[in-house]
Parts: sequence; C-alpha cells; structure tokens
Amino acid sequence: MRPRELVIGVGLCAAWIVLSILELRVGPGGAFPADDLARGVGAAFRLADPLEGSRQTIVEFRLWRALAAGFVGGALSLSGMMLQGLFRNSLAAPSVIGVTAGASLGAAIAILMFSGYLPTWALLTDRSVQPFVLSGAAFLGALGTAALVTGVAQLGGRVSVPTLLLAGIAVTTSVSGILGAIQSTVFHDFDVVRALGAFTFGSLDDRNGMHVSMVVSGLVLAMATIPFVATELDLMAGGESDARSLGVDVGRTKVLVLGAAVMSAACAVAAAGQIAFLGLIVPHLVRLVVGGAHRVLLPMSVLGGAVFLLATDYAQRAYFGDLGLQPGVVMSLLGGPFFLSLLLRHRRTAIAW
Amino acid sequence: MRSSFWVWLLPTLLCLGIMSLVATVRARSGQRSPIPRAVAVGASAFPLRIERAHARTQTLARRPERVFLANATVVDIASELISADRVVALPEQALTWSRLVDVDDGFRAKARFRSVDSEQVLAFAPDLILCSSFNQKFAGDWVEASGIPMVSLPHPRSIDELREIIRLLGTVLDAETSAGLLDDELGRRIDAIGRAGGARRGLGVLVYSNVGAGGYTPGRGTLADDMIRTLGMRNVAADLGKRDYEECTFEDIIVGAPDFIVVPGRYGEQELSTRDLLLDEPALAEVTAVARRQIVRLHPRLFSTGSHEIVEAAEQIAAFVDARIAEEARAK
Repeated sequence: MRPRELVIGVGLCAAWIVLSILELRVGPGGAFPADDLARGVGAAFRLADPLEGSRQTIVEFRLWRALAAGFVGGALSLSGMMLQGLFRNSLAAPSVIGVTAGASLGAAIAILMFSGYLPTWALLTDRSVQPFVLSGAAFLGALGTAALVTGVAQLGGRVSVPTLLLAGIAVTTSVSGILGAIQSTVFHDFDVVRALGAFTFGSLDDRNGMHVSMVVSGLVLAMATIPFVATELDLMAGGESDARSLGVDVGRTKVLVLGAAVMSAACAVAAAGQIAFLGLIVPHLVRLVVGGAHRVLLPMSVLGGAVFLLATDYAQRAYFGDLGLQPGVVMSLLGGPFFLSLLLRHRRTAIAW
Repeated sequence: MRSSFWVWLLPTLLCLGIMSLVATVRARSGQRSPIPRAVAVGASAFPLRIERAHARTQTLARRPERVFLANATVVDIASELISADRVVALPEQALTWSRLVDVDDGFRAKARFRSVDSEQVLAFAPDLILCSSFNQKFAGDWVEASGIPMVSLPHPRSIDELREIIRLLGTVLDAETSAGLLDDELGRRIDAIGRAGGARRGLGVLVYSNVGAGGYTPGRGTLADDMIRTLGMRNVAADLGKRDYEECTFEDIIVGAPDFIVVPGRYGEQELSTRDLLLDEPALAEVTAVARRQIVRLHPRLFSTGSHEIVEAAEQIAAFVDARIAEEARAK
C-alpha cells in the first residue's frame, strides 16, 4: 500500500470512529456528557457499570444504530464495488442482481404474515423467533432472487454477464410488480402500508445486536474473499479472454465475487432495509480518490461506505430530524448532488473508465 | 476557475433546492385542508351550492338519492344519516374498517368496489359522490367534468372539524335532523368523557403502531391528539415535538415515558401484534406503560378512524385508564 493510500485509509478509519461517537450524541433523549457516554458504551460490553435507569438503554440503542449504520454502509459499498469490478460496468450495484428487490419481497411476506394477511406457521408464532423473522425473510428473499438471477445467467458452468444483467432487470421488475400488487391489496391498512414503505427506504431505527451480527457476518464473509479476487478483478478489467490467457480462473473468480457480493448485500438489506444509491455511488467516489487497483479499492470501499452512511444518518438526525426522513431518502437527496459535483470535477477521468 | 465555481455551485443549488422542496412539502402537510361549505341557493334546501377550495363551486340540484360512498370514514358517517336504499355503492374495505363490522342496516348488501376509478364511479350513475381529498386526486377531474357533484372531505384533525363534517354531510344528504342528533350525541359523550377525566389529568399516553418494520405515532395536529386532550391526558408524541403521523423509535418511547400506550389489535389471533412487540422488547421493560402492562388494544377500525367512532375509541381508553386508576387507589 502506498503512503497516500495509507493516509486515506487511516483518515477514513478516524472518520468512522468520530462519526460513530457523534451518532451517540444525537437522539430524542438529548446529548449525554462524554463521561456518561464512555461509561454507557463500556457497560454495553460489560466493561463498566451501567448508567442509571433508562439512560443505559438509550446509549445502547444509539450504539447499535451507529454500528449498524457503519457496517451496513460498508457492506453495501463493498458489494457494489465487487459487482462493478466483475461486470466492468459502472452502473452495477446490488440492486442489479435482484438482491434488494428480493429482500423487499421477503420482508413484505413477513409483514403480511405478521398482519394476518397470510397464514402464519406455528414456528413463526413462537415469541422467541418472531424478532428474527423479518430480517430472516428479507435475507432468504435476497438470496432467492440472486440465486434465480445467477441460475438463469449460468450455462455450462459459465456465467454470462450480459444475461445476468438482463435477468436482474427482469427479476427486479417482476418483484416490483408483486410489491405493487401487495400494496394495492392492503392499501386500506395504513399500518401495513407504512411498514412496507419503511423497508423500501431503509431504517436504522431500533436496531439491536441481532441486526449488527447479521450484517457483520455477511461483511466478514465477503471481506474474506478479497485476497482471492482482488488481483483477478484487476486482470479481468481488460476482458475475460485476456484474463484467462494471464492464468486467471475466471469461472472461480465470478462465483467467489458473486457469492461475496450477494452475501454482503443480502445481510445489509436484511438488517436495515433498502438504502438506495449507496452501493452505486460510494464505489465511484472511492475509485476517484484511490485509483483502480482492487486490492486497495475493496477494503477502502468498506471504509468509505461506512463513513458515508454514518455521515448522512448523523446529518439527518442532527439537522433534519424534524423532517423525519429515512436513510435511503437522505442518501438519495444529498448523495445525488454530491456525486454530480464529483463527476463534474473529474469528468475526464470518469469518461476514461 | 470559472468552471470550478460552477462545478460546486450547481450541485449546491440542486441540493438546496431539493431540501427546500422537502421542507415546503413538510410545512404544507401541516396545513389544514379546507372543509367544503354547502349553501342553499334559494329558500328551500335544494338547489345547494357546494363551495370548495380555490373558489370552485358545484350545484347539487336536488336531494341525492344515488350516493356513492368512496371510503370507510364516509361510510361510517353517512350510514348513520341515511338509509341504505339511497346508497349505490360502497368500498370493499368498509366491511372491515367501518361501523358496518357491527351494523348492517342493509348496507352490506350494496354493490362494492375495490378502488375508486372514474369509469367505475360513472358506471354506478351516482347523483352525489362523497369521498376523501385523496380519492378526489385520483378520479376527481374526470368525474367532475361529467357534472356529478362531488363532496371531498379532508381527514379531520380535531373533534371540532369532525363535527363540522357531520353537519356538512347532514346538509348535502338532506338529513339535517339525523346529523343534528349524531352531533349532539357526539358532544354529549365527549363532555361525559371530559367530566370524568380529573384523575387522568397529567397522565401521558402514546398512540403507537408497529407491525415489525418500525413504529408510527400521531403527534400534534391529528384527531388522535385531540382525542387524548379530551380524555384529559397528555399526548406523549406531541410532547416529543412530533407532528402529524411520524416515525416513533424505541428511544422515543423511553424518553417520552408514557403511562399508557394505545395500540391497534389485529384481525387474526396468531399475528405479531404491536402489544406483543412492546411486551417482548427488553429495552422497554422499564417504561411504565409496558412494565405495568398498561397497553390499550383498540379494534383496528377504531385505531385509525376519522369519523365519530373516535368517541368509541376514547371511551374504551377512558374505561381502561379509569379501571387502572381505581385499582391503584384500592391497592393504596
């Protein structure tokens, strides 16, 4: 790693920590003194005595929110970076392979079961299982659609990238139709329509250890593949035949990258709903800053995604709290113009990709 | 230099523009939608001039006999004022989300529809359409062009607005006596709830729903907020600075520390209910309402009603709260 990349990496790590601390300071319960925050966070990990009364619970809610925001941002960004590298297409994002649509469909089915519109199996009525059902259903939905898309694009053990993109569009459109039909059917039930909407634009409210564990598992699994795919993705940038002639096992790389990208995005969306745009723009921003080598790009995209989502969530809570906007909405509202400014500034470089 | 200036200025302006748009929409959402007025043109009850927002008027030439009811709130009120034979159609959801759950009076046999679209409305050949502002946005222009009078009612934000709507419907349906009786009964029941509310004063209540993907609560400027004031209680969501229907996190609940939480029941038995979700959340275990299981379950139609049925909801909450207060007094 070159000194410049090292400085950027350290800077992003520092920003992640600072923003996480800032996240702990905002919320309806008001700002806590630094000592109390430190004690509350320590107590969450059984390292200190808990704060009195509900103050400890409030600190823990904010802590889970900050951790979820960081890891979800990192996971979505990593997934987007991997897919853009694999497809050699700057428009690729987790939504392209049907992950986000599948997660929404899974979550919608869970919400319909909770609300009595679909039969509920005995296992799901067990109170100890219920908190996991929504995220679990979203995760299975994401994996299911991703498996369908990749299955359609696979022939004789080889994945056709154009077919994959087209199958992704077809599956996403079909799932949108199903979700539209569900919304029309339950339109009179405000609670259910609101719940479906909450998942569509993501939510970091009321996260807990289960959500954070879920997204961290997906992220760790995806990051574990980086040493095995980073150089291969660089070599595949010049085309699959060239990569093969250079000794790259293209089939294995595709399977690894797809599996990692799907797992990472599926866990993130299952934990926090759809947060639009992040998996598309953060990889571009990171590429503008650190260049095109995937051994640097992939880990940097995790840090960049974490910082980006934490920053937008902090901005929303600290400055636009009255508007009650969801993270996906804020991401689109602020991220779009910011991304445009960078594109304008680096037009020549961007065109050269 | 000049290019760099535009590179930063354009996105900044775009960003500011988007945020201003969001803020404007948000500010306007708090504004009261006007309730139409019905004014007799001559000495008799009809023709009637219906005056709507933006100086738009329509004339109801004669007493309506083929009334199209477009939503459950309108069904709630109109079914108290007129007989079923003057109604041509009502929405499918009225059977589960209006007073027709408990009452028939011949309304359940009427033609039903799933969604309001112009062609379907016209096919029923109504001589009056009663709908919400929301229905009107979808089908209003076409139907209005056909000359059928349409009275579009906003969702009431207070009990006074609700009473104004009842009186308006009494006028346009030529059922002023029934409307007067309904209004009087509503007033009497509200007064009774308020009179008995001394012991409830100062207690905090949160109206909350959550089907597993995030909670919502009605804050200031909602019918639920006015209902809570009528009970003599304090709306915790309004205290938290919430306005209209807003997201409500578990941290909000902890900070608001409600003494009672009002939740919707569900139609089935096995579903995840808001009540179970609150009781199963360890972080809320110390919130008074949860710790003491002071959670009031309302029938879903009462939880989201915009009609006079709100008083039924208020009475159920009052009965629950008063019983708990009496229990506590006995225990002391």
